[in-house]
Amino acid sequence: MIRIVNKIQKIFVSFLVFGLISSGLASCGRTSSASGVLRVGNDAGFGGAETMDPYDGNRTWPTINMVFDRLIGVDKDFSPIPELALSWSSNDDLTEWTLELREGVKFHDGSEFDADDVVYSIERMIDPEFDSPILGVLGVISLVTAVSKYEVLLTLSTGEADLPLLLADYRALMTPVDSQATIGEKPIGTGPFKMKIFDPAGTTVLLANEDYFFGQPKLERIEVITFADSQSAAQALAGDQVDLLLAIDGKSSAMFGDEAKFTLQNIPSGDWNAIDFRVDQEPYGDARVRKALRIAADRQVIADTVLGVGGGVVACDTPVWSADPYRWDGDCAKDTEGAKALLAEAGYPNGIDIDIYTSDVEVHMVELVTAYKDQVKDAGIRVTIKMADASGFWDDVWMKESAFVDSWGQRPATQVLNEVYRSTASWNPTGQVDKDLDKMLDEARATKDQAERAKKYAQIQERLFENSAIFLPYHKTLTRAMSSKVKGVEPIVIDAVRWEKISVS
Amino acid sequence: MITTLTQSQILGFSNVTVRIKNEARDSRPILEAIDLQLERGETLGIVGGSGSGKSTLLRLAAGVLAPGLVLDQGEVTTVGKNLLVATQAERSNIYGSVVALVAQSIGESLTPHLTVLSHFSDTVSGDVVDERVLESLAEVGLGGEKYLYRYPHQLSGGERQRVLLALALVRSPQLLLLDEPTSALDVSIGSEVLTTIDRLQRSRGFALICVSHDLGVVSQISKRIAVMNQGRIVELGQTSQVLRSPSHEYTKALVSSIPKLDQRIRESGSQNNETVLVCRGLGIVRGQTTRAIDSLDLEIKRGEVLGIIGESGSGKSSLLSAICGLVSVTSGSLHDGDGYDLSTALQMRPREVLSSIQMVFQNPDDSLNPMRTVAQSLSRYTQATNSEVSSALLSVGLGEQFLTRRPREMSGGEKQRAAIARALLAKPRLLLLDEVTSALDVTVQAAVMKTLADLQRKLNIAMIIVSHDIALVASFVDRILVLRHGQLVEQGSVDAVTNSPRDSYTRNLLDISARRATI
Amino acid sequence: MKTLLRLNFLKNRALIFATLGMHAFVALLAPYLRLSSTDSQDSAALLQGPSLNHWLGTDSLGRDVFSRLLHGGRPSLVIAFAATAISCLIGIVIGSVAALAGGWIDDALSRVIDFMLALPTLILLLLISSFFGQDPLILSVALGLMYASPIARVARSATQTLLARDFIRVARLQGGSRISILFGEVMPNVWRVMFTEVAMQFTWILLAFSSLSFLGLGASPPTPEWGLMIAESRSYMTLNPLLVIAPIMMLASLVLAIQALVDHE
Repeated sequence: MIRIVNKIQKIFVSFLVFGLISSGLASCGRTSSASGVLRVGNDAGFGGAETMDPYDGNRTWPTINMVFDRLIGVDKDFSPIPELALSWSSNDDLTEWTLELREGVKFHDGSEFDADDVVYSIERMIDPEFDSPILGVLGVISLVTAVSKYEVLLTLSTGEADLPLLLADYRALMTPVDSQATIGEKPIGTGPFKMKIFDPAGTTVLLANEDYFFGQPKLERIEVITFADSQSAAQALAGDQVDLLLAIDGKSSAMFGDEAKFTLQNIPSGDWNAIDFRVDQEPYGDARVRKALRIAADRQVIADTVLGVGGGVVACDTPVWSADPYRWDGDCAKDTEGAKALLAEAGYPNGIDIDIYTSDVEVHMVELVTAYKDQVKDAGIRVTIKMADASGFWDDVWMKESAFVDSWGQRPATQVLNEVYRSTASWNPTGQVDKDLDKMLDEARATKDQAERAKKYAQIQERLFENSAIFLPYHKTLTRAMSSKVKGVEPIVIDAVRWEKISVS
Repeated sequence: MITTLTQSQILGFSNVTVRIKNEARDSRPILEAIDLQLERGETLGIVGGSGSGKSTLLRLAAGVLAPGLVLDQGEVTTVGKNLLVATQAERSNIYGSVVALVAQSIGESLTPHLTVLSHFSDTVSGDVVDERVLESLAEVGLGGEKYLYRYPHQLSGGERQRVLLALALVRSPQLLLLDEPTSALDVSIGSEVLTTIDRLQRSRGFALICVSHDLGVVSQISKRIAVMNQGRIVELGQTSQVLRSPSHEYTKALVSSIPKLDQRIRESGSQNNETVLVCRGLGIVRGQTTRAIDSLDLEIKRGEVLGIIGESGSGKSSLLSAICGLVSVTSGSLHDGDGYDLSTALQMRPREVLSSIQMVFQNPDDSLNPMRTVAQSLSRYTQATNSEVSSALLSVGLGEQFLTRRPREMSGGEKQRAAIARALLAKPRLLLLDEVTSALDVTVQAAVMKTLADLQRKLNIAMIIVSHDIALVASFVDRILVLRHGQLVEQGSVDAVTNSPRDSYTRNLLDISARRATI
Repeated sequence: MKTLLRLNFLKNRALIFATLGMHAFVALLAPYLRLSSTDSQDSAALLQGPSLNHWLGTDSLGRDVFSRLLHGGRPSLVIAFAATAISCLIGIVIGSVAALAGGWIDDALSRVIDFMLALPTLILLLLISSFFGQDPLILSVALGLMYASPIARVARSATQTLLARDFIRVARLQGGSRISILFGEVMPNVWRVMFTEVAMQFTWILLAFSSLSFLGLGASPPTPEWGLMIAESRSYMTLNPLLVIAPIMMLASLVLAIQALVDHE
């Protein structure tokens, strides 16, 4: 039996690899595993609409982070560190921020980087007509002015203590003045690698920028190879067709168990799934029902089942992830009796029947609700899983049905709390209006003292655990897989990875 | 036992027994201990009822055994080869050049989308195609190039049969096998085809085996006759010998069952002047324009039996359908004895009018609902009681055991008898019989006709009997009508029509019949 | 191996009946066999290969694949039986009535049948399912309606052939009403002819529902259903190919066996 299974597996793998080789060779003709060349596998993004313009919705990640730099980066501990800006400071009410720029930095075309480029870049980011996705992050900036050649003043509409972290967003990249027309195809940045061939559907080739201000990159070249789906990308790594995959499905990591050939890195991230309950639809208007629904499940078991053991970090309904300095860790152990009592108190002594909508937009979204159903049945919560068509999920189901599965990417505390939980936020998925929470959010972001601010953010998260309508059981731990020849990729979030320090032996 | 053929022989069966696969050894075999030799150039007719094994024997002579059958013992030899163990290559070599088979159903033997010429291209190769094809088509009476490019649907039944014959003969086989060569054809056309076969056999000198249920057909082209019954050859001899002085009981029954013009099986009963049907200037149009019946006058008295003779397309079936109401009358008048207008649609007729005219159809397999027992079929619409059904069945010669039988458990003759009993249960004044015996074996036909004669005498009902067989009609009816292309061409008493026919068509039919009966 | 290849599945009667028997046994008795629960999840045993505890391994939520496989035909079979019954009823009635009535009624009904035949079934089912949700009743009715047209078409021609048969004519001659002829003579015989068509439709409905489940709009999780199992596991098929192969084999063997049986009859 096992032999047959192995055989089928081999046939299947060789089939896939054959397909890859035959389809890949045409586009990957230049591909080689010589030292100094890193081949990065990448999921197909936007079906041919990809652009290198970092502010565009169809930006090509992670290639933009190889070509461009941010003003401020993040360190391993997720604290802001200098990148193109050397230092920053603010006034007392945190509404005006002054940034001192690094001097002598050259763009790839030889021109010098200065305050005019910063003004140009940030004005594009916050241009309401261009409506960049980064607008949601840096929308607090109302005005950007060049004070001198190497000094920039940012004026905010409201106090924001964590502006440096917001500026460390992976898309808040600096582009040269008047580059909008050409940047999509021929990107000119200050980053460690220069664009040689941009082919987002095939292989994109980047060459080292020898004049990089953080030092010459150790690699000669990076090739970013696009795959139709994560399965074929994983097969490509197994077949030595690529060297590095930034994220694989944690449950598939067994494919790369051979430590002599592969290195696996598990990196806690801020990506999360949730089940959202609309408070404007019964029975979720009742805070007792909401809390019962949230405490009836064992979050650790859910995380282990959905993501695999070690695949996630438990969250007590807080969107702030484990490495974020404002993270609050409460006690949210499974409390079946408590949930039952709350339900009885709310008028459901015999349990409750609820529908939850999901879709195979991503595999975890179906598995989460399946695991949740299994977990909460002890508390008398009977879940009917409703499947929706993947293509219409975000438009027709999300924020519309009474309960649905949700999925968000990593964001700093201040951003995610304001974007998801603020009463007036356009993407507030539960429709919950909590004026007190809004006030607490305003106060927190305007508090200058770091320790004081952390305390306020902790109170906000505690309030979410008591009152929110979002069951948020875990943050995902991303699994990064690479050939053991690849060195210098630190096991930290990709935003903090320094591409120039990576080498291939 | 192994026999080898002598130089002069073309085919040999020695002690051949064929059984149904996996059937018990004590059950009756399909063919049992068949011993048969055929000389080169010899003609043999095989005659027998359905299920006698005659078709299986013919197929075996072509080296084919139907699926589900096994050769239990014995040997079949054609020019030195045991056909059943021959390889595919040997067999296809033998087939066509040594043995050729003309299968029974002419409708299905030609490919609808191929021209006549294309049918030959499989059998004849190379450039000589046209010449040899033309030659062999001319031989079967389809001279001239005009037939080469016709499609099967552009050919008449007789022409199709001739094309099949030409196809079989084009590679000059030494043995020609014919399976019921005329059963799908009208009498006169079938007779012409037989004449052609006879002429070809004399000129080419091939050996021939012809299988038929009709003694008349095989006797016309065969010097020797084998009579088969229940898988065995019960009698084998010279044709004239067998016909004149049959020795086996079955053969005797077979010969005596053949209807003869001068041998009545029903005596005319008492007729009175009560009319049961009158039609004047009757016209029936089928489809858009086809005139099935053209201005026909007809009158039938109670107790009278009328025979209608005609070939396919003569309008005889349309006439019966119109009388019973299945087809509407286009012109003229049609009334029953009480003056009821029978051009009224079927569903408008009152029940007693419906009952007074009943019809029995040609195909025994079609006459009873396959899902019902005989008792159910007979009582469902006639509302007859059980005892009435039983006695009706008895009157057609079927015992009580048939009450619970379903059609698939009955023979063709039994099914037709049940259909007649059902018609009688409606207590009709007029019974229409449309070729009711044409699908039955001759011996069965004779028995059914005998039953009908008894019933007619006993009930004194009027009957119209339609048939293509002038001898059968002449032996049964009081008065004969001959229809051709919807027109009445001859009418009169049996004696008048058979002794002094006025129409040439009638004369032709009588000639054929007389020839077949006397050989 | 060589003999296996020579074994012609479609012609081997014993194999057909063995396959159908296995499916019938499994479908009827799966809940009464001593199997692991189909729903019990085990986060400590995700995506395991075959073992003594889990004969076909576990799926991505640690559930026993063997148990889910044996239960996986039941939802489709129930729906397929219900839908086939509905399509038979509608199809045979429409087809027979069209043939029996003739004239403009026949023309109108025939156009309706043609129209239904031209509809893209799966796309329509997707629409219905996403509009009304995965209600088994609605899905059965929708499938039944959609697959009624081929049955109606065959029933119509079967009835027309039957109407030309002599025993129907005799029934008319003996005063049988249209209704009594329809139900007494036509229906029982149409049904006999229809058996093959109906059995084929059954397999198409079975496949349609499984396809719908595969697309996420048939059975809803965590129901064990073959199409859904394939969909849930396709991301993990390199880790445990049986997750995908086993349900495919079950579905294929059932459909092929029914079709082979029908061909035999």
